[in-house]
Amino acid sequence: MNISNQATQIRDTLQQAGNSIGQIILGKRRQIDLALTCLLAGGHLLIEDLPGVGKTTLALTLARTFGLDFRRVQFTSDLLPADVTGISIYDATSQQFKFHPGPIFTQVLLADEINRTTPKTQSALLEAMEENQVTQDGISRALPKPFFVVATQNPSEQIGTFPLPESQLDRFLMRIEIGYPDQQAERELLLGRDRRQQIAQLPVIINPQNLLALQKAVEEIHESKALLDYLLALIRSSRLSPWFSSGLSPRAGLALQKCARAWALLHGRDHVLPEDVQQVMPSVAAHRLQIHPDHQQDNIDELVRRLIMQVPV
Amino acid sequence: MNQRLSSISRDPAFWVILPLTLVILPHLPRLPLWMPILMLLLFAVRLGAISEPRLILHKFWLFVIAVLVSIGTIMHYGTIFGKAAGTALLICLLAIKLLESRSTRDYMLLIALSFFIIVTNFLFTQNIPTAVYMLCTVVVLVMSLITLHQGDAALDLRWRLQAAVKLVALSIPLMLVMFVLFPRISGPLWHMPDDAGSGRTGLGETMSPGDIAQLIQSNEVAFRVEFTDNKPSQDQLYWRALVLWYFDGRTWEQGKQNENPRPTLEGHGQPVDYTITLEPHEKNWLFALDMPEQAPPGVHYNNNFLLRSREPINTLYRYSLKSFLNYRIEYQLSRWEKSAGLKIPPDSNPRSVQLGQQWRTQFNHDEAIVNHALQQFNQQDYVYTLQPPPTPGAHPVDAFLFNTRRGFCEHYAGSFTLLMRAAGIPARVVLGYQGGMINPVNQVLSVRQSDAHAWAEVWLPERGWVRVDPTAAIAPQRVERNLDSALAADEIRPLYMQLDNSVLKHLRFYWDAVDNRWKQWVIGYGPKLQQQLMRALFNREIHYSELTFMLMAAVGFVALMIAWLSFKSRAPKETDPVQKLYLQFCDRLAKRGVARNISEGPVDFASRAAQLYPSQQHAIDLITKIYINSRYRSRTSTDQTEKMQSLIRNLNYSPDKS
Repeated sequence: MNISNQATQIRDTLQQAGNSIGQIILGKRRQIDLALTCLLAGGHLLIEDLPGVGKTTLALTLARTFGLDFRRVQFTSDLLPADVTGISIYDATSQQFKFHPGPIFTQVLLADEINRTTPKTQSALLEAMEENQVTQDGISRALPKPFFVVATQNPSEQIGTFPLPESQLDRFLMRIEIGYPDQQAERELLLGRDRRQQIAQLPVIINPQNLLALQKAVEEIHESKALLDYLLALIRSSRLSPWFSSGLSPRAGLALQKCARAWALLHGRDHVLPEDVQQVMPSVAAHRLQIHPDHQQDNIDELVRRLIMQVPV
Repeated sequence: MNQRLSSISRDPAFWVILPLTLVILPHLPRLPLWMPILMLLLFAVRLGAISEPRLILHKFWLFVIAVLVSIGTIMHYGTIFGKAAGTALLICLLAIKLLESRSTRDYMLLIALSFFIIVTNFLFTQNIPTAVYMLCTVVVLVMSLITLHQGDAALDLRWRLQAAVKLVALSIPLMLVMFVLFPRISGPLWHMPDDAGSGRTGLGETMSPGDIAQLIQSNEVAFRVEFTDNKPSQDQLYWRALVLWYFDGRTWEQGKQNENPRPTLEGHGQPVDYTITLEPHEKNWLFALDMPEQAPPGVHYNNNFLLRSREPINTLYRYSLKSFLNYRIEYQLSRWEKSAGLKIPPDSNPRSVQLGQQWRTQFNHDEAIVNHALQQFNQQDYVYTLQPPPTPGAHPVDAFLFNTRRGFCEHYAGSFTLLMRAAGIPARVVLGYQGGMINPVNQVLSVRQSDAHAWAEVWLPERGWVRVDPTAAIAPQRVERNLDSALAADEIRPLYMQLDNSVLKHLRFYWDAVDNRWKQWVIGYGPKLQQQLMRALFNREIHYSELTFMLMAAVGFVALMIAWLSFKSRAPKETDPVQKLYLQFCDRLAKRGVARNISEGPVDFASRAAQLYPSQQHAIDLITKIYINSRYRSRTSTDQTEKMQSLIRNLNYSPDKS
C-alpha cells in the first residue's frame, strides 16, 4: 500500500471513526485520538482516572467501531490468573483435560480496575500482552489478532489498590487520563439516551482486516533525519534532566517513535512532524519516568511538557 | 551516610569552605599560632551555620573580630604591609568574610579572592611540590565555581571534577604562552617583596670556632655547577667566597678592605669552563673555583680574587666562568697587605705566637716553615671531628693547639694562619666550599652547605699567594672524597648522612636532577634566559615592546578562539539551504512580533503566524509546506527552494488592520 496517495483517504476514514466514537464520549476528542493512535500503533492502553468518567464506555465504543470482539474482566482482589487466561478441566467423556479459554482470548479486552487485583494476576495479564500468547500446561496458544488491551486503573491513592510497578507500566504503550467533561458536554450527556443502547447501534466503520492493514501502514510512515535528531534530543534531555531519577529507556524511545507515526497517520500524513512527537509524548513518556526526589512536588505531565519546551526543534 | 554526604556536597557553603581550607593550608605554618586556631573556629561556626541558623554571627561581631585581627597582626609583625603580614591579614579577613557570606555572589567573590591567595604562596616557596599543590587547588576552585553556577541542578561529583580538570588543562597552553612571552625586565620591579630577618643558612661573614661545624648540619644545596668539559679532580674543587684578614684572638673577620688594584693572575694550562646556578643566599658574594680568569658581566672582581655582585642574591642566579686551577699571582706584596697579613692581636694566644716565632728561627725559608707546620698537624695526634670540645677563654688557639687537639676545618685554618703570621709569613683565611657531589643522572655537581670549608692562603716570595689547606694534612679524605669518609667511624653524623643508603640516594639524585631543571628553566626564567630563547626562536634580539605585542597577540588569539567556539556551539552552522531560508523566515517574523519558540514545530508556528497576518496565510502555509517537504519528507528540489526564497522575500509584513 502506498501511503502517500492514500493518506488523505485513511485520514478521512479514521476521522469518521473518531467522530463516531465522539458521539458517545462527548467532548473528549483528544483522548479519542490518543486511544486511536495507541490502537493503530499496536500497543496497549492504560486509562487512569476516577470511576465513572467513561473509561469502560471508551473501550466498548472502540471495539464496536472497529468491529472487534469485546470482553471485559473486572479485576478484583480474589481474581486468579486462570480466571483471566483460562483453565484445563478434566472432561469425563473424552477422558482428557480440556482447555477452557479465559476471557483474554478476545480482540479487545477491557481489564477494569487492574490495580485492584494482586500482582500475580496482574503479571499473568501483562505477560500475555507482551508475548501475544498464553501458555498453559506447556502448550502455547496464540491470542487473536488484533489484540488490544484497555486497562483502567484508579488513582493509586485510593484504598485497596496494588499499584503497578514501573517495569510493568512500561508494557502499556500509552497512559491517558480522561477527566471530567466540560459543561456543554455534560449537558448533552444528561439529555441523551442510554449510552449502551447507542453503542449497540453504532456502525462498524473499520473492519478488523482494515485495522491490521492500517497497523502495517504505520510502519511505513517516513521519518527524516532532522526528525530523528529531534527525537534523540528529547530522549537525551530526559536522561540529563535533574527532574527525573532516570531518563527514557531505548524501549520508551521506540514507543515514542511508533506513537508519533501513528499520530501522523491519524492526521493524514505520510511523514512525522515534530508536532506529532510533541502531541503524543506526555502520554507515552509520563508513566515511564520517575520524578527525582528533589522535585517530588511537581506534576509528572507538567514536567514532561516543560521538557518538551526546552528542546529546540 | 552517602545520602548525607551528597546533600552536603551540593551545599554551596561547603563548596566555599573546602577550597578555602585548601588555599589556606600551605600558609598555616608561617602564621602565628593564634591565627590558625581562630580560622578553625570561624570555619567551624560557618559549617555549623549550614544546619543551625542560630550560629550566624551579627555583622557587629564580625567587625569586632576584623579589628582585633588587624591589631593582632600589627602586634605580631609590627606592620600590616609586606609579604608575611599582608598575606596573614588577607587570609584572616577572607575567613571572616566567609562568615557573612550567604549569597552566591558572596561565594563567587570568595573564590575569586582564593585564586589570588593561592598565588601569594609563590611569594614564599617556588618549588615543584608547591606548584603541583597549587594546580590541584585551582582544580578544586574551578569545581567550586561549577558547583555554584549549577546550583540545585548540580551534576555528579565525578562529572564536575572532570569538567574542572578539562578547564584547567585547557588553560595550560595559555599559561605557558604568557609565561614565556611576558617581558622579563631586570630591575627591582620583579623582585620578591623582602622581609627583614628571613634567615637562610649559608656562610657567614665571620669565622669563629664551631661556625662551620654547625653549618655542616644542613644538607641544603648552596649552588650547582655544570662543567663544559670534564670535572676537575675532587681535591681541586675549592670554591672561594670570602677572604678574612682580621683576627681578634677568637674570630676571623673581613675587616676593612684595601684599595689596591687587583694583582695580575698568571694562569697555566687549559682553564676550566663551567656554569654556576646559585641559590639565593641574601648576600652579594658569588662563588668561583680557585682562581677565576675574569668576572662575569656586571660583577665586580676584587683584589682578593673574589666575585661580588652589586645586589644581594635573592633570586636564582646563573653565571658562567673560566678558572685556572694552576696559577701564580705574580706581584710585589703591597704595604697594606703586608701589615694586614702579619697582624697578630696583642696579648692573645701567646703560646701559639711563641711557637710560630720559634719556627722562624729554626728554619731559614718560608716554604720550610709551611711544610713543617703541616707535618706537625699530620704527625702529632690531631683529630678531625665534627664535635670539637669547646675552647673557651681568652686564648682559644692555644687551647686547641696544645690541649684539646680536636677540631674542624675552621680550627685548623685559623690556627695555621695565626702560626704563619707569627712566623712572619703573610697569611689569610679563605672561606668557601670544598668538593661537591656529582649527580650521575644529569652530571651536575651540587655543592651543599655540608661542603662548607675554610682554608688558608700564605704569601711566599716568588710564588705570591698560595693556597694551603691544613685540613688536607690531617684528614686528606675530606678533600679527596668527602666529609663522611673523613670522619671517624664512631663520630655522630648529621641525620642526612645517616639516611644516605643507596636507594634513597638514588632517588635523591633523580629528584635533584628534576629540581635542577625546574630551577633553571622555570624559576630561573629571567631576562637573560628569555632573550636567549627569543634569539634561538627568531634569530635576533627581541625588544620588550615586541614581546608585549606578541603576548597581546597570543592572548587576543586565544580570546578570539574562545569567542568563536562559544559562538559556534550556540549557533550550529546550517548547511541545509531550506533550513537556512526557514530560519531567515522565522527571523523576519520574530522582528515583527511572532517569535518562534525553540520547541515550536513548523505547523504550530505557521498557524500562529497566520493568525497575526491573515492576509499572508497562503504564503506562510506555502513556505511551511515547502519547508516540511524538504525537512520532514526528505523531498527537495531546486525550484522549490527558489520559490520559497521568493515567497519569503515578497512576504508583506505590515500587520493587518482588522
